[in-house]
Amino acid sequence: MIYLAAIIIIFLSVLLQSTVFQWIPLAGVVPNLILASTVCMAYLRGRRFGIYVGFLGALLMDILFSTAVGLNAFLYMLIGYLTGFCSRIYFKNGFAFALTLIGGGDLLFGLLYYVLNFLLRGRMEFGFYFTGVILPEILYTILAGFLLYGVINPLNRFLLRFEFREE
Amino acid sequence: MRRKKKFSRFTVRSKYLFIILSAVCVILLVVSFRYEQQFDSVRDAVASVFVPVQKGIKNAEEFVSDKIQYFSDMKDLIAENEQLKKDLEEKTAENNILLQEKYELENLRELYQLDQTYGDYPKVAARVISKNTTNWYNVFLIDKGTEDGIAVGMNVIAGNGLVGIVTQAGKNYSRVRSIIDDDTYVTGSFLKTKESCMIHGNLSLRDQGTMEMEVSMIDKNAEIEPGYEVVTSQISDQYLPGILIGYISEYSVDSSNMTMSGYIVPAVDFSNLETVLVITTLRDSEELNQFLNE
Repeated sequence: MIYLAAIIIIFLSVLLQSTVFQWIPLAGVVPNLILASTVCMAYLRGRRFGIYVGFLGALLMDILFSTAVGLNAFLYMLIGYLTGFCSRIYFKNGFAFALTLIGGGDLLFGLLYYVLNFLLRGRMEFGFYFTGVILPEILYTILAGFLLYGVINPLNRFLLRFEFREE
Repeated sequence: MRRKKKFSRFTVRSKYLFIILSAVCVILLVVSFRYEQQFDSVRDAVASVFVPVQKGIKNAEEFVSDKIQYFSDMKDLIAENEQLKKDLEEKTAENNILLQEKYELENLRELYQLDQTYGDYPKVAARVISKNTTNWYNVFLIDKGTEDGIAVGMNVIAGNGLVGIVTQAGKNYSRVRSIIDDDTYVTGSFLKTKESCMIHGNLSLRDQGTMEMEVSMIDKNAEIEPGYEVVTSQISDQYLPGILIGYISEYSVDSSNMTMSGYIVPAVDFSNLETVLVITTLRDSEELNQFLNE
């Protein structure tokens, strides 16, 4: 059940991010919806789910848009795995904490992506990349994560109740 | 209890799961680079799921924005219509004069033998249906593919300027990398002086809102001025010659004192790209070799 829900969430976030959100950019950036859903799932369901969602979501994105398939998949999986550790300290009204995690995840992603894709090609102006791309993306992603967590958290709780009843 | 047991049977510890999937990522990286052709079938499979939905979303967006436009424009249009009727008479007179000038211009162009012939190439119009999901690169998908005669390496233009190049063609979609992408290099030449140069996209310029591109390797003695047109070069093996790229905005002599570099304003408005034209003629490598041997 939760696997089906996860797959639907991944598909929706890849679709929305490549179409709808491209028409409503703020400060020239679009939110990183796939990362936000990865972190949400990892926080709510643990490391394993973080790995699955991050891997699958980023893999689809890689296959559709980039020449090198696998790099994003690895980064998203890493973030899903790391944020998954925080699911141990999940608490019911952890809305702000979840948003902090999403922001932190996006920061880590931005830094790693810069180092792997830009610094290695000799693009040194880190200050610009940080204020021009990474920071706006984090803010917008947190905003999107606000909505996303508001959907995924109740859904997760509903499914959990369902699973308990099954036992 | 039963459930718990069942669960533990299938469980790999997440640490190992992470390591295994990391290895999968590395393998995928190698495979997608080494066997690019074969990997296209995987891309096609994924795209066959996503592209129809993306097209649908695009259609819905166009429908909605059309309707919104329709109602909000109604009032304006009536007022505008009145104004336009008045203008029309003036313009008709003006047009007659311009038509005469156009004939003159055509004659002069023939005399100068300008080689901007890309207007004659066969083209296919396509819509931009989705864009790259990260903010770091400028890659997008269009809704025409091999069924419409599109192949890898074809040039993409919009209006009268160069947009990019097709990097992958599926059955009913293609992936285009734009010239302002951080990874793109184009060899260009100045239309007036025939000096060659190298144009590359740079993310840090794009996000300052100017959407400019960097240009380098201009000969130090080149006689250029800001505003000169830069077109694709004869010596490019990927781009058809003579397609307008943009206009040089500023330049300075490099520290090596051998070359000059500067910035180019693209002829295409990349912030608002809806429809593009794909030139279905590929760069002829024999023609290029002939040119280089001359």
